[in-house]
Amino acid sequence: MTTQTKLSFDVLKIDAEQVVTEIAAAIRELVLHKFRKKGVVLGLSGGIDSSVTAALCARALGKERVLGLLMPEADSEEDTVKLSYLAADKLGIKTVLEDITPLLDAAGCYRRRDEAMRSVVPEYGPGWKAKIVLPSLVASDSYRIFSVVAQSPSGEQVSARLTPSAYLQVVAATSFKQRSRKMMEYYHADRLNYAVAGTPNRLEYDQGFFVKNGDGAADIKPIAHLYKTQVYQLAEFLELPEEIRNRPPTTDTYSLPQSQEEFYFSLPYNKMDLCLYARNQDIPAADISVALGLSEAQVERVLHDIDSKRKATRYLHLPPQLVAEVTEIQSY
Amino acid sequence: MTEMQREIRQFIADNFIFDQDLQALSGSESLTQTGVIDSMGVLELIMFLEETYSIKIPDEETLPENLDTIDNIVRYLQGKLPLVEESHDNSDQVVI
Repeated sequence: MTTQTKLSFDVLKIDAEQVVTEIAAAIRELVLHKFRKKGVVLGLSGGIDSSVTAALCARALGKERVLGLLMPEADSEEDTVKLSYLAADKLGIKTVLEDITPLLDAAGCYRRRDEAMRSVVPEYGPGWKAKIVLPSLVASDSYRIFSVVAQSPSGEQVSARLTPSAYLQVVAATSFKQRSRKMMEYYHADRLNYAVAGTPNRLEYDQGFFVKNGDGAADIKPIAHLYKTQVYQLAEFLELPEEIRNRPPTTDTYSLPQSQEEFYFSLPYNKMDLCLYARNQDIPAADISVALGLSEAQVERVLHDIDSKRKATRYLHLPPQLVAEVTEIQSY
Repeated sequence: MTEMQREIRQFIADNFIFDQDLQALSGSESLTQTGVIDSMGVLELIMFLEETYSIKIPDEETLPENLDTIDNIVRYLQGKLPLVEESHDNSDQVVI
């Protein structure tokens, strides 16, 4: 007779102290010995992932070997810079503020994005704000097709489905932001002989929630194996400021506030974590539905979406593909 | 094969199949489950159908039962269009 344990959020509990010790040791080994670099540069956003990553790097290497970059732009939320400094001050790490708005402007980021928005919302213009959103996966079986939600200067909102070309152009244009930030990170890393730390958590990494050669690029990704729920546990153990620990996850990419659920994920992060964990452990949808208070059909949709995203974003993870192997460099 | 099926198959071949065998794709096979189209492809398919057949596909009708197989698409279009001439082939029926 087998005894089945009910699935619960407890499966994601970790020994925070042990995990911190393990990650710090890995950072030291990778940065100092494998890469032979003197420290780490990372982008700070005032969010939980970059703050925990910075804390882990500081614990691993010493605070004097960690540089935090604050890289706001025109659409950044008001408290992004404030919370980034809050994290940096707590950790005692050095920071550099690089406002990337002029860089994005010169590259045509905002112009190209607005042009795409205007193709589906003709009245979109100066003073307007917008975001792109997906319909709820759990509410219906319909395909997840992006719409733009645009808000006029007087506060009226309009919504329109994005055409394929408009969607691709909006995403391509906004991806300038992540790629510009990564360019800045590698500038500072190169001048200091440091490595670059990426800050994705497991949900983001697994589900391809990053920009190729943008925030997807890095030398190390210290928390990519941790469920976001577990990142929060580390944040508490590392005594990061409450304001950062309580900040709702956001994309901080569009001019209208946009949650990660509206843009990408099907559920709040804690429920997504449990679904992802269950998917990885082949736990049946029936058990997941009891744990989450969703119907089995809803859970099946989420699990299907997890697999779909893995397939669709495989390309983002791939390094450059060679036509023929160059074996001589592999042993160095 | 009806004209509508031919048009839809040709669109899929031109945009998603590339050098794979279109003939191997049956009318009842899931386009998404078989990896023929992804979420971006669904958007392109919707736009093609709206433009080609002068219809509007509202968000609540963007369902797998309407769009996930060639047979489903044809059935969905027949329900949307007031008059459908299925085929120019001698062997096929004209549905009104």
